[in-house]
Amino acid sequence: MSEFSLAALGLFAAVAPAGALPVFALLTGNADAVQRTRQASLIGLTAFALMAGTAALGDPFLDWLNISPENFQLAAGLVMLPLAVRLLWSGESMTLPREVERPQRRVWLTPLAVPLVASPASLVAALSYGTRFGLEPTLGATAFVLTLTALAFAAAPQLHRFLGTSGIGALARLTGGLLVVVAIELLVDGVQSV
Amino acid sequence: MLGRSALLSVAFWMAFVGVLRIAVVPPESCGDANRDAIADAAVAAKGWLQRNQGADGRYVYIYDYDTDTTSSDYNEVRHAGVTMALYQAAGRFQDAEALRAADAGLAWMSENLIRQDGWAALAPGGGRAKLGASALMLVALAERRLATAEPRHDDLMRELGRFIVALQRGDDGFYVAWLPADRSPQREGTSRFSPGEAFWALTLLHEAFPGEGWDGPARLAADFLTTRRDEVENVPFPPLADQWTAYGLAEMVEWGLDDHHVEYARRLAERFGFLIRMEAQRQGGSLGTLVRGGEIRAAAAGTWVEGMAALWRLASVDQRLADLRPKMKERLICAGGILAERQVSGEDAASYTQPDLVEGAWFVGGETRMDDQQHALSGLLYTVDALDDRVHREPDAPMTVGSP
Repeated sequence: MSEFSLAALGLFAAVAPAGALPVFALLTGNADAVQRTRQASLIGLTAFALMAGTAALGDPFLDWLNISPENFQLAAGLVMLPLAVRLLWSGESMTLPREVERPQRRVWLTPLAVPLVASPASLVAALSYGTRFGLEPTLGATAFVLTLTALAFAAAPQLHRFLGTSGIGALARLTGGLLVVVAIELLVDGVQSV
Repeated sequence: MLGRSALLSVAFWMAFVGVLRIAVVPPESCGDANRDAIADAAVAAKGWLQRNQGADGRYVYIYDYDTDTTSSDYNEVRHAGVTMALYQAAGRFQDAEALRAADAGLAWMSENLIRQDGWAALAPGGGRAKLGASALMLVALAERRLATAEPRHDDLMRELGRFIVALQRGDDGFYVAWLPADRSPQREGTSRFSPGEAFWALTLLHEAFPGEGWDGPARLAADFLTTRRDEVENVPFPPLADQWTAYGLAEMVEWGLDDHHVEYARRLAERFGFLIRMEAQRQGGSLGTLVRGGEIRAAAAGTWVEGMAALWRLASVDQRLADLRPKMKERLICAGGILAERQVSGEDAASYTQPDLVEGAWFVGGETRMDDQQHALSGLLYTVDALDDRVHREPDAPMTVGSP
């Protein structure tokens, strides 16, 4: 697999669009298609800014922390595992009340862009892949995954009709499984590095 | 509202960084990671071994500064290892004092040899002859030969080599010892590290006497170590962090390594690198001890440095491992710096009851053992080589030695 594909797979698992979809649907329930598309775009752009910034600052950031990229990979694997377990267990990236009484403002920023999409797992994945594969494939993969995520958010009602709640839950659990694999791969790679 | 949300995002990111730093990946600290500090630490370790040698050529085995006692225990394998390290230092520093101390250590070993069927083995008191003891005695002699270019022990080297070959098993591993009373190898029990010691000794023997056929058993041992040893020894997380095998492969690299040797060397480098990285993250206090266990002995950390330095040398010759060289050097500097920082300085030693038993040593729980200084000394010497980009292991020129 190419570096782009590996990074895209890992970032897709860490962002877990299927796990985030129910939260997005709950918090933007009253929005029309235009509002929804706008919010999805804002989420994608904000998350991209944060993840790209993290990936770009990777090496100096790790230098500042006095952490080698190899040890950081171990940490990234550890940070991803709780989200992977949550996805496998509940099929959602984040636990929210079942009903939101009053529509909140700027939900696209908090909690949707941060910490739902640009989660600790996504950020460590971006940083880890940035130091491991270089900036270009990581930024490309981040843009690709976040575009897919934004598209999924924008088409949330259609996806819900097509897949149903259980279908989306199953997809999220599959993503959780993938994230377990990605986390373990990072852990193993962290151990098996000079 | 937007400002508050943005503030929340920044706070989240900072909390993420903080938790990451404190709980998940503590910073790596490499102590006195510079060439001079590392070279000075090697000299100080050599000084401890020279000062703490008895009239019979044996070294202080264990010293505990809390009780101000030395141990009456002794171990001939470690004795041979210490003597080897002193010869290495003698060659590197052109140091007559180190050579004299090592020769005294060699004299003790020579008095404790048994001979049979054309071979010789180190067996104090005529008891069980451990493979590791004879293998490291042979390595010590090979180091002496490299340091001095003197052939006076060549016959003894061959005798020890024949003992090693006599203990090689059908599966190319080695019996752990010879039992003189039974006139047979000890068939029960194994040793994880002595096959690597035997392998390295055989490679050095071939280097010293090419054309005599020592490379044959060495190659068989290399195949055993790189493909079967970890399984035979039930190593839970292979590969075993075995610096002896790394030394042997680094000697063998000039003869041409097979792919499985190189693959094993890569995994070994990864293991040493991992161990060094983890040690660099060790933090003091009860939390650090809880997460990473107690501080490790210099004897352990020293072997990681020895192994990594040997593999750095290997990677300098075999291009299949060339990609690892920069990281290997990085880890070597770090581990060398850690050792240098943890060594007791002369200034600190002055406050102890017996400064001569403390200065230049590494202590864990108030105790130092002679092989703490041995492994650290060898590791530090070869770390300096790597820092100087000095690929060949033998001294630049033989020492001038007085008449025997």
